[in-house]
Amino acid sequence: MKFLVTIVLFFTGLIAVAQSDTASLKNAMSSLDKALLNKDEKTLQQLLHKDVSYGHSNGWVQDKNDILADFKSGKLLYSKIENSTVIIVAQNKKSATVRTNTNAEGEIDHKAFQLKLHVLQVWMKTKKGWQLFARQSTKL
Amino acid sequence: MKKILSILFLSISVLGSAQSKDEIAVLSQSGTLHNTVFGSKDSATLDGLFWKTLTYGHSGGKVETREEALKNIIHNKSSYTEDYSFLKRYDVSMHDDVAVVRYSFKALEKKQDGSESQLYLGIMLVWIKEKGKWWLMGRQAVKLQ
Repeated sequence: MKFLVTIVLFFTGLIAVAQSDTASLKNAMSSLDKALLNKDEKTLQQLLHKDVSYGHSNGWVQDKNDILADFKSGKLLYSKIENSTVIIVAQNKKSATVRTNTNAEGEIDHKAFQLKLHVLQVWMKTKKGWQLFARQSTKL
Repeated sequence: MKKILSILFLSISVLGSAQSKDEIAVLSQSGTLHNTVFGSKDSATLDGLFWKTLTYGHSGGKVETREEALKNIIHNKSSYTEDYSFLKRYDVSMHDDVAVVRYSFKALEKKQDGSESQLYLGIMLVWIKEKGKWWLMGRQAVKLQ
C-alpha cells in the first residue's frame, strides 16, 4: 500500500510541474526566432520536437533533420523574423497553438526573399520544455 | 507481484492498441472533414468535428473562428471536382493528445457564377483528443505550385 501511495504522489507531482505557463511558451517562441536568425544549432535541437513538421509558404514540409541541414549548408538563411501579431489561440498543460503574422527576410539558395506570412504553430510541453511540434505558414 | 505484472501487461497492451486506434480515428476524421468541406457541407457533421476554440486558416491568410468557418462552409456555393489522378497522402504525427495531419489535394472549383479555377492546396490539421474523441483545433491551408 505504501508503494501505491508513493506512485500516486509521484504522478500528482508530475501533473503539477506540467502546469501551463504562458510566459515560458512566449520565451520558447522568441528563443526559436533568435535561434533561426543566428543558426544556433544547440537551441534548435532543444526547441524542435524530434517529430516536428515545418511547413513553408511555398509548400515544402521539412522534418527536424532537413531544417538543421539547411542551416548548416547555408541553403536557408534568415536575416529578419519580426512578429507583428502573436495570438496564443489555445493552451492547456501540455500543448498550445499559436498564430502569428510575421515578416521574414533572408536568403534561400543565395536569393533574397522578403515575405509577409501568416503562421500557425503547434507547441508541446515535453520533458525538455516547450518544443515546436508543427508549423505551417502561408503568404499574406 | 504476479498481480502487478499482469496489470502492467494489461496497460501496455491497452497503450499499444490505443495508439493505432487513435491514428485510424484521426485519419478517418480528417477524411470526413475533407469530404464535408469540399463536398456535402453538412453542418451537423462539421459541428461534431470542430472544437469550441477552433481557428480555421485559409491559404490567403484569412483566419476564421469556429462560428465563422461553420457559416462560410455551409453557405459556400462553389462545387469541387477533385482530381483523383493526384494521390492524396495523409501524414499523421502524434504526441500525447495532439495529432497533426498533413495532406495536399487538387480540385477544380466551380463557382456559382460559372467561373472555374484550379485548386492545389496543402492542408495542416491540428486535432486534440478530449473525452475520448478527436476534435479539430486548428487548420491552416497553403497554396501549392
